[in-house]
Amino acid sequence: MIRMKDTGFRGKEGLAQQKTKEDATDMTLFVRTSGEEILEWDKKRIYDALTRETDISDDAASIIAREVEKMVLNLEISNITAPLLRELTNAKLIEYGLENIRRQHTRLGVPIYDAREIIVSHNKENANVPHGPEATNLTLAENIKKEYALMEVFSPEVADAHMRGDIHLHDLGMVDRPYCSGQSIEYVKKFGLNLPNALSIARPAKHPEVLIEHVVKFSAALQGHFAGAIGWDAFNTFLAPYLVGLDERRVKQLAQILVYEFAQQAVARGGQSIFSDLNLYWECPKHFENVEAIGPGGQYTGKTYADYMPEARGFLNALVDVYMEGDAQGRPFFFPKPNVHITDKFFKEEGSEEFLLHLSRLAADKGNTYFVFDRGDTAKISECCRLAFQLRPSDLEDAKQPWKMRYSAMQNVTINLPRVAYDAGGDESKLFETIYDRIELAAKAHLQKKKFISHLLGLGKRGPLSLLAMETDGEPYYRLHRASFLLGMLGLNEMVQSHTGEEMHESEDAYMFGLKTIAFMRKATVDMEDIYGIHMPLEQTPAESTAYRMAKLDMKYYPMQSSAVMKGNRATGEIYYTNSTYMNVSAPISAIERVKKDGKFHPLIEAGALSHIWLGESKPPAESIANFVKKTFRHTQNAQIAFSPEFTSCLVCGRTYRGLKDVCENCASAVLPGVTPIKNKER
Amino acid sequence: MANIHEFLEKLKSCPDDFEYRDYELGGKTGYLVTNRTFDTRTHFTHDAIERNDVSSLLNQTYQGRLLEHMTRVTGFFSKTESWNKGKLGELKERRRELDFHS
Amino acid sequence: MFEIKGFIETSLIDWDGMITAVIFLPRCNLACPMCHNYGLVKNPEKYESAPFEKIECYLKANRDFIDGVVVTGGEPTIYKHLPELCKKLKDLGMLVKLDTNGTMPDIIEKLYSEGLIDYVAMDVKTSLEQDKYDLVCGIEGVDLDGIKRTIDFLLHSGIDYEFRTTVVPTIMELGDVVKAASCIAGAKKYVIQQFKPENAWDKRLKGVRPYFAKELLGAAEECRKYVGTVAVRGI
Repeated sequence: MIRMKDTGFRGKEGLAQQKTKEDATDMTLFVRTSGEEILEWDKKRIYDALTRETDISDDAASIIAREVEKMVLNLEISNITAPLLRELTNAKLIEYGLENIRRQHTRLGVPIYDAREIIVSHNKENANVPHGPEATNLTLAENIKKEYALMEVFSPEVADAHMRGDIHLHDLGMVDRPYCSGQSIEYVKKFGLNLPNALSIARPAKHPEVLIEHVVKFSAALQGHFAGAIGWDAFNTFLAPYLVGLDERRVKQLAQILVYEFAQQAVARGGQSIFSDLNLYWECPKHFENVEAIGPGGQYTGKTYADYMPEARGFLNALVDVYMEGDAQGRPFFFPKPNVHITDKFFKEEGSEEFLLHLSRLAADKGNTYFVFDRGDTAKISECCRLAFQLRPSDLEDAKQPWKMRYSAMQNVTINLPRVAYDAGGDESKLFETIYDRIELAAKAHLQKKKFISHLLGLGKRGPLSLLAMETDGEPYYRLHRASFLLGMLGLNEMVQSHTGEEMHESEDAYMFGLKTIAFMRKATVDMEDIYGIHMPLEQTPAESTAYRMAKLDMKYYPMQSSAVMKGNRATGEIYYTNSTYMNVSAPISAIERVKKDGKFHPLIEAGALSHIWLGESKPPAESIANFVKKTFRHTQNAQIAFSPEFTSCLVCGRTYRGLKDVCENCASAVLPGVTPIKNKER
Repeated sequence: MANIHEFLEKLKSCPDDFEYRDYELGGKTGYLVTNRTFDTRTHFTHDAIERNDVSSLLNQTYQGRLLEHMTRVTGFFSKTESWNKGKLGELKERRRELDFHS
Repeated sequence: MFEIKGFIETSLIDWDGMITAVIFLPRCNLACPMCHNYGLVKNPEKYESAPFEKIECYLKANRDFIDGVVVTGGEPTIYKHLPELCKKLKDLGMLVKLDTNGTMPDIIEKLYSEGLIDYVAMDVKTSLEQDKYDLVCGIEGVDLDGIKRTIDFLLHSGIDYEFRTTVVPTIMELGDVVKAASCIAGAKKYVIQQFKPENAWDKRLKGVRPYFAKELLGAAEECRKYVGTVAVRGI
């Protein structure tokens, strides 16, 4: 048969020959299949494919096959590829008005030009993907899965809205997995490493090194089953029972193993790092204080986690030391991200002042620290860029069996807010109606993804998501009923600017309109929860690619309106919308006002928010950072802050500088005798 | 002359990255090497080429410009070399809150 | 009174441990070639004045974060009305830090005795030798006696303070830093600051390569012979 799908392994079925007797030259037409075969022409293959893949009637299939044959033989060619043949068949289907059949008969794939670009050039869509054969495998696969998602998983209404750029469905290339996941190492401690399809099974770890190896490997396995972040809750708290009696040097060594193992995982799937998050606590989180501790061998130790505070703190200090040193060239570790939770209890704990200074020194020096603020009784688990789940009463019940604390966001959908303003044309009620409609569309997208993932999970052990379907503790690893469905927002600032004429930092009115919009969105998501039964918290979309994609689409479809508010440089094409609910990144607003004003949005954004303080080259003293952190905790509603320095690292001499430099001073001045750098005139 | 030969062969093998020609600078004969990626020109005397290994010589053509830059893109660190144009635009406009000196 | 020619709303780097706002006053009695704020010294009229009312409003709104205000310049001590400004800041509940070159000891003593300043950061530009000091300050006949009086005052009055030196190759050497430290022997805190050529007043300094971090750290080590706490900033 002529294999029309490019997937290959069924392509060897049958082999037929049909010489075209009418042809005076007795020419033979060969079909190049992607099953790496060259088969002789047989129109029955077209018929077979049509009847197998689509709802076409037998008669219609015969007619189409015959018509295609006529067309092909008239071409007087000796070779044709299966993909081309498929498209010719599709063209015939259109000619006969069989649009629905054509859709079912679609072929997914990339033009050779794109394939070449992908294989040879660098993927710039995701800043977390390096270049390499694994990376390009990922990109190519994602391209096909993306097309598949838009044709099969989502309704035309949703898919079109995504393609137009009204909304953005994140990680479509990974449509066959949920978005992100947060869990506890208790699962690994209790059950060891026993994964479906594994070639060998490990019993619960007895030694801390082994536990760390198990956790990292499990993270890698999870990375293969989630599109984004893999978060670990209260990591140091749960590791502590394995650290009893170890000296400082050994603990530091363990911290180093942990960080390097995560940091250097960019050798795994798609050459991507595991987007890993470690949630860390100086105190014992209240909900784990009385929980029975699991220790070496997966056995209960007879103590509670509150009893292991010295070990938990020792490890945390060692971890901060490791981050502080950076890698072999003094560069910051990108992953795993340390999310340190600052709570009311934190400040009452012994040694917390000193620890806060330690953390602040790290923030100033390498920037790694994420200060996560859990005020009052809230407990959170952070996992993604800023994704955090507030623990609900039922979660706190789960906390007694922490291995059950497995959370996930199934999907993230972002609303292009500036476009809403363009569509509303200054009419406020239309603006809010449109936002509501887009949110409802996002809810539909979530339901469609949920249906698809449920289907895959339902295939159980033999399905593609067998790891998530495993029932080690009596319920599936993936707790579908606890999944969240994120609603993100992009370009609130530009929406406000387009609608009111002012950016959020320019007037109190504009800022209040921004707040009102997010409050409205929050309320709408609660409606969706009532109507569709899905928990749909707001999230500040990270949007490292979306901010650019939507900016480009709006410049194309709404050139007049978007030009008026677009950020960046239009001459160079370096355009973007401001992320999520942020104020203009270049606005002359002090760090204090930024954390305060950003912070007012944060209580509305249940699934997590973050304020950036861009340090650039400057390196504030740790004492000042600690001071700022404390005041942010006490005097604002801000949910999370991070201080971001910039670094330049020289690939020749290995030096790392603070700030974004054009030239390595060391190398530029280390000129060998007899060598003369010639200055360019324009420089 | 072995080293000179090896050096020139190396340059020839990467025509997209380097070009070179005979050039006399300050009375000393040698080669003028253009590093196309970094748009730099560097003069090497014959002596200098003889005395140093090929990779040290190539490193001289970067004139300190073979760098990687890192900061947070959104909620995580990454190399700016991998950022898309939109993010690079944002990076240029970011107000470094504390970038002041008194 | 005088005009405020610049206001930074938040700084974490101008006063260790404190969150501050920074007020810039124009003009100076020196003309240091490495000065970053030379615009304020040379052409203050080109800068828009920041109305004090606006600053006051900002400070009031952010009292929950801001511990103090840094008064810098130019050289703030050339204004005899400086105490009035500091008083207004104190009345807002702010701590006040003064940045000075130390050439005007009288006003500094007055500010301290009236309780109007809480911290002084004084530049010791180089070793206290007339020709060297003149070179680094860009004028003839810097008042070294006044500078020595200010040093003496800071060392013995009980006020909190730091001395600092920006290390500029070509107009001084690392040895001068150590000599400068010896002139403030017994001080609590000394800060060696990295030179940033790109912002210097004298364009001839633009091409000057600053000392490497390890060179500055080496000098800092030597300075510890004279001063308890020696820090290096800007590396």
